[in-house]
Amino acid sequence: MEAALMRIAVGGSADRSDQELAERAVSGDTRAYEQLVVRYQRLVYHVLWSRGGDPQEIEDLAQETFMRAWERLHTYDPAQPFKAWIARVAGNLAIDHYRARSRRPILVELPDEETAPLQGGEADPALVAQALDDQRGLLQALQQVPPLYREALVLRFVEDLPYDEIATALDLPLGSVKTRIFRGRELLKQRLIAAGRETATASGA
Amino acid sequence: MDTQQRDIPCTEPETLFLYSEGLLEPAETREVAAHLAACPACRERYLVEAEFSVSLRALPLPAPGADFAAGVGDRIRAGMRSRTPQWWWLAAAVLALAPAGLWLAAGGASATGAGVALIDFVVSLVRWPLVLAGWLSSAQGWADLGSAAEALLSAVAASPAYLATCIAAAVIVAVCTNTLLYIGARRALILKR
Repeated sequence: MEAALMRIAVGGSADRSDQELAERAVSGDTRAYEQLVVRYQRLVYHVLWSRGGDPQEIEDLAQETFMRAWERLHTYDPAQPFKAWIARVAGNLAIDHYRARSRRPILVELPDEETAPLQGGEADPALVAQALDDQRGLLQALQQVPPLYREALVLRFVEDLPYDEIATALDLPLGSVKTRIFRGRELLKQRLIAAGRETATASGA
Repeated sequence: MDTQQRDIPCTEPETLFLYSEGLLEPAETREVAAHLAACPACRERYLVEAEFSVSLRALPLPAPGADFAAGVGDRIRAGMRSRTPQWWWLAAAVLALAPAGLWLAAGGASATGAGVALIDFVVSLVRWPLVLAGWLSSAQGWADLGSAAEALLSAVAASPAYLATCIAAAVIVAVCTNTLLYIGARRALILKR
């Protein structure tokens, strides 16, 4: 009964804006904060997934993200979208986590890769279109793209964040975000076609 | 018009991407749109770009369980409950240990040294309010108390352990004050949450 009442209370704040919920949370309303968690838990999961890690690790880091965000909520500027702020908290937490574990998936900067010409030129659109039918193959290809590109792609195309919000989330200039997303897409297309070719070879052999 | 459109070179991959994302300037957008209308190959590339975005949007990425948000909320509330008393215990411990710390600070000195430290500590606490009160009220009695405190301080100043105990007392008072201020601030923050 108590749990049901609690859910009603949480549901009552469903139509409030992120900024309003954040202001209530700063003044001690944990239910308002819970509503923000409901709104952005998927986004945080996806950011953490794009940074690597197994399902358990993603869940632990997602919890830590929201705990850290709660502790630092007074630093959140309501003029900025909460979505971009929480994505940044998650991304920074993942960087700290993997750096502490001395694992490789996190690269803070990719200066050469940002400016160097793409290898292999443009992927054949016909082959890309063909490969898009295989959703699992697309997911696997995305996992092979370097994490920083992957995160930008996920924020843009899975989470549908506008470019300026991605710039805030990744703490990058707008131009770099556009370049990173374009290059990430091209890399993904190349991986996708390569995977399709390998599958065709394996089934032909 | 056809001639003009055929003269436009085939769209660069990055330009086509920026076009599909609506990131080009209006003039460039018009230029690319005109080219796409005339060039089937580029139109095909553009359609693949759009399809690519749709496919990415539909990817089945891992998602949290139904009780994830409630779990975060419970964890926050549990943390608030458990943290508050801890700070009060710490405050109580600091206050309880302050006299002992004072005594220890005078350690190595004689029992007189420790006694002096204690007297100095107490006197320094009461001296200035008394002097100030005397000055404000101009009442002779208060002023006398202030003078007595001054005299007591002068007397203990003769002790060899005076300097060490003064420093120790100052450090302890500073530590206690800062700890209490920190606890106050922390508690205000926790209660705010």
